[in-house]
Amino acid sequence: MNLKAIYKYGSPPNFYRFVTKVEPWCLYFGLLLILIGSAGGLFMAPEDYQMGDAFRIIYFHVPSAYLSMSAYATMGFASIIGIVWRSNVAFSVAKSVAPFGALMTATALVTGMLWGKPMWGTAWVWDARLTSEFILLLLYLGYITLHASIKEQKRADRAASLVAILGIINLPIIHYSVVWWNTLHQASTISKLDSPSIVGEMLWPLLVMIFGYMFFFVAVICRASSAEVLVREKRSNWVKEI
Amino acid sequence: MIIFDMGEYNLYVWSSVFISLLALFLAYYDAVSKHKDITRKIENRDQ
Repeated sequence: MNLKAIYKYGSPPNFYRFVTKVEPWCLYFGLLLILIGSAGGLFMAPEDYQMGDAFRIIYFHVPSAYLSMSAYATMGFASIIGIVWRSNVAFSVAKSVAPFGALMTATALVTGMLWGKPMWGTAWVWDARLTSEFILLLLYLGYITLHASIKEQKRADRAASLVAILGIINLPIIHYSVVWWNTLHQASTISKLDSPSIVGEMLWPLLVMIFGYMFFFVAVICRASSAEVLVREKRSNWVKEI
Repeated sequence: MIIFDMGEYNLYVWSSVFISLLALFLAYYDAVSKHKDITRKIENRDQ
């Protein structure tokens, strides 16, 4: 890892200027990919021979589920950097990721229920994948609640970061839950790109949607973390110059 | 329009689309409003 980059962008003014430049590019590119992926998934991909048109929920469910986990990994990583380097910027990023991650986890759960109801005959079962994803939502909510409940900023950052770091253990559990246990939830569709269990016409919109969601996530985090940095640095001289 | 017709799964598919896009919109709107709030506060204080 390039430590110079961490030190450079660990400085609030450098970080602020960088994210405000990156954000619009990621936003427009992300939206474009989401538009193309949605059109491809909803109107161009062929109907599934078993699930019919219900399989099209995959184009919204899977990217949300991917992001719920990627966002948590980002939050955990930022929390580690925050604690090790006592970086205000890293704590700002971690705090900004939490609401977005919680929203994506809730979306993954709800779209999963909407898919499960017609396919499984039930919207919810306490199987390993669904339960571990639900625990992820509780971890996000725990982080947000703990951070909001402590008035002193530094103590709140440190305490909430510990929750984020401890919760990282849930990520491999979610990913491998369909391998380790017998679950109603199907196995991974594209875990290996060289042999995905989905045909090319169905695969490309899914990949486009995942990348679109990723770019959109970066845009949201850029905007939210720049706001958080301003909140924390509002008395600094560099803030007056922007 | 026939391309919008998902047969017996209409409700499930379009609800998923609506909820997902709403979540994305809310996430970005929340971030933008936070940024606007703090920028306005800083501007008011400086004036």
